Amino acid sequence: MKKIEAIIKPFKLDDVKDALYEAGIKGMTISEVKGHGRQKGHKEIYRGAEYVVDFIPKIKIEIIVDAEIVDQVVETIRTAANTGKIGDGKIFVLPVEDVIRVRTGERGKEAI
Amino acid sequence: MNQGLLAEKGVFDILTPRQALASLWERGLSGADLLREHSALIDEFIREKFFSAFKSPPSGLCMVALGGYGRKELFPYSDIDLLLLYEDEQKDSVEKVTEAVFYPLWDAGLEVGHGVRTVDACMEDIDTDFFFMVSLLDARPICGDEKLFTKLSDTFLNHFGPGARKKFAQDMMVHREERHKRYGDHTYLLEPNIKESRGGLRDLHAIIWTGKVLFGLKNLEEFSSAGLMSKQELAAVLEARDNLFIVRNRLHHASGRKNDRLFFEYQEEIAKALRFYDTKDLLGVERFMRNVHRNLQTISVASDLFFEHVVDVINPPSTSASAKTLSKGIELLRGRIVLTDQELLKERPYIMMKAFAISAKDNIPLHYRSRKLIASVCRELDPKWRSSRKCARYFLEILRHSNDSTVLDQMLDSGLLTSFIPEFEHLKALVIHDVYHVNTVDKHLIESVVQLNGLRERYPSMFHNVEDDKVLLLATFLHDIGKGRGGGHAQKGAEIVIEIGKRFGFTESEVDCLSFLIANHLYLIDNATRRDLEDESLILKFARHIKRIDRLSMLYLITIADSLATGPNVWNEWKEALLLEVYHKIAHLLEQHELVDPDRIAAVNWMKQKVSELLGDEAQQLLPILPEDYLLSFTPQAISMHMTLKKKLAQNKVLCIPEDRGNFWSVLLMTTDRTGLLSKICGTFVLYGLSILQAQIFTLKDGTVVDVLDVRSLSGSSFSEINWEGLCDDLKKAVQDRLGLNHRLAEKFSRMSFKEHKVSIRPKTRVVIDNKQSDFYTIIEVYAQDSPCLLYSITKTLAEFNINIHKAKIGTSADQVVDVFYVLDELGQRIEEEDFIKELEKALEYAAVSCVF
Repeated sequence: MKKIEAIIKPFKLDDVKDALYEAGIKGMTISEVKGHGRQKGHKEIYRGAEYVVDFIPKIKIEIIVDAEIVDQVVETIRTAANTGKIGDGKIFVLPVEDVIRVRTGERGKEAI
Repeated sequence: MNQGLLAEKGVFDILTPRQALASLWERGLSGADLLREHSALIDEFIREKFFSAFKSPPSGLCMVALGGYGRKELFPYSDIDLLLLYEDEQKDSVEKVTEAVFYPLWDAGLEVGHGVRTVDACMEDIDTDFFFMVSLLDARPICGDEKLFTKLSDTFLNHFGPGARKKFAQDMMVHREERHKRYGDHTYLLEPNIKESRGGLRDLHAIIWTGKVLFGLKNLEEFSSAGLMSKQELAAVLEARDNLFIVRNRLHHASGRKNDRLFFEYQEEIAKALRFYDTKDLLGVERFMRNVHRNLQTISVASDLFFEHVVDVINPPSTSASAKTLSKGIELLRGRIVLTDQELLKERPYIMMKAFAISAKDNIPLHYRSRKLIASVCRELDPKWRSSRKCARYFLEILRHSNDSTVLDQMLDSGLLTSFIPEFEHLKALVIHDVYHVNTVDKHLIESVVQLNGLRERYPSMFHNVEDDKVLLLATFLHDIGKGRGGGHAQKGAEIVIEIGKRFGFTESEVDCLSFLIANHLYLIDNATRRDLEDESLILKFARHIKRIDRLSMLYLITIADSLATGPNVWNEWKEALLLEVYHKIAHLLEQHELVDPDRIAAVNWMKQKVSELLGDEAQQLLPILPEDYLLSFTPQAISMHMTLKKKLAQNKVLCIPEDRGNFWSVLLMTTDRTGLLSKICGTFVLYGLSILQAQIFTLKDGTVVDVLDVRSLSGSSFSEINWEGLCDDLKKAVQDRLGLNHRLAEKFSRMSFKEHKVSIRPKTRVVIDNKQSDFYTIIEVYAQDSPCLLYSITKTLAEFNINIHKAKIGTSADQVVDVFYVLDELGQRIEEEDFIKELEKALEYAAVSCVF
């Protein structure tokens, strides 16, 4: 089993969710995260008051999948989240030791 | 004797709480009646067992019911609070009684709170154990020596001298405050604890106990005749109590234990059991929870008012003070605003509004009796008071000065608010069933206004953009007025609010603004989080929808106030970053008036329509890729022609169509975008001895490049003398990187000598790299002396830096060339790095004066 973590642009969330849903992935964890990368934050001066936002808002999606379908899922996410411009994000694949369902105690692939 | 259900079984058999509830429900009982019957049944059982232990009833022994059981409010899942009162002489019989009565109860698995005490022991314990003392307040004899009970009762009441009574009331209020704090955070708004939460059963107990100790009242029903509550208030409280009893039993049943917390999973189940079905506007569970919140609110308000009175009673003013008149009908007495003339208030309702306005502005509380007075008066007001401009003015002042929710809450509780704005009635205790919305809608709107006022300090510049805040205040207060009507609340609210705006005496444009703000109160945050903010045409669309900077600022403020008032963690830095971005981009475009000029918008729409007609079926696909600038630069016929030509690009790579215009020649070029394209084009033109006088460079959204270049021959050749075919072929090669422009240009210019224009005063060369004008591109302006290789030189330099040109305007004025390029770097970002900008400036300045091959 693998964990896929994807950092994407906020407005791409619906597209990615839809694409994953079509691919049969219905469960995921979504968080609002602050990105610091090659893209720069905003420094705006408005009527003398300076607003400094030194991060870029991004969305993080986390899902657990069977190792067999990792490549397929990664590509699904990548295509859906892609705009071709800088800041499109990154996808990480991590190994997972075990998955346990809290309600029943099931482990492993059945619990995904 | 009432044998009831126990007798049905033939034997006195104790049922489990679950069975007990089920059978009582079967008999059609619920609420207070059910509890009374249940208490009676347990009384029966205890009497039976008590008398079974003795041949004849002994003196000096008494079974006493305490607490809720004593009040005949025994919940099947609650503990049975029993006290065996005995006299010393009967000490040896005590065991007999406990065996006979308690053991069967325990054996049946019931929870019995039991105590065995003498009267003296009781009196000792009441000083140390507050809760025991309080349970004694509700004591009731079940069976046995009544005289012994009377002894306890009298001794107990005598214990309460005036000092003790006062202390009791004070302790009660302290406990109440602490309880409200402990059970008051937002999680309890979503899943209330109907015993401990504000307005729950414990608040009722607090009223009853204090009533007993302080005023000698036996029960709630006596409150009205004692003048502590009006008949209506009492009726409302009793009804609320009965409803909560019903809910509590259902909750215990659903949880299988004595759980008083209305967790989400039980809410739906109980809603169904109590027949709260879904309607087209609301879910059954929302209707149920609204009912629960209404009941909690009734009791909460009643207990607040009661305890305000208690405070007055135990701390009577030592000095007599005189009332000061603040204005007609409104007096100030001992730091509280007092209204006394009921008839005057009916005649001139604005006085009530004014009183609240003074309260909000000067932070002076309204006396609770005045609030009760207002409550009864506003039931009898002539509806035309809703259109009183005076009242509207005062109401807006209240909104303006609400830095906390006190005054607005009081206005809501007293009924004045819903009397003035009846559309608000629908929102009372309205629950939105999800984990996100913590407050009921009425409280949420009040909180939004409070939060808005809190933003004045943090966002002074935003408020600066708003001339008159009355529309902003009312819009914030009514932004969710469309909720609970089956969805689409923004649009519904916008319609509802028109009537209200008119009643408030708003002008037509103010009503329009009010409606707009409510229709669009989610516009900014929705677009900020779900749309691509780097898309200029999208931001332009937003700017045109909002049209004015004051509206933009108001929407911004409403967005934040709304989020802050929705629940904790709804508003955060993350969201603020996106909201700021969309705000600034829209504001920036709004400053460029020509972009939002209705004439321009009309022109664009006209073009789109005409082009659409010409393109027919393909219009739907093609229109979205055409930028506005492009649309405004050509005739519809020309655009249609471009689209037709576009189809040949796959084959031909480059299309080149020259046209003789007499003084100059206009060349239409179409190809696909790539890095360095413009420099290749410019270079090739120079190779063919053509000078570019003017050019318009467009890139369509699908990457197609449409360039129109106005050219002239450097060597004076005529149109027909130019090898246009050769030019086109070489363009194709250049574009595919198959043409060695460098060496060819070097060759050509070593052989050629073109009329060099010797100028005594050279116009200054200037390069400006600007990131302020546009949020979407870096704009590079080059001012230089004209020369045949200038354009090639500049574009080649840009290409070397891997800079992409998306739009360009090239032109000449007298001797000076003004070239404006809209560019982005290779990563699609604007050029913002200081060092790079300096480097680029230098390179371009150099390129502008010396031909760079």
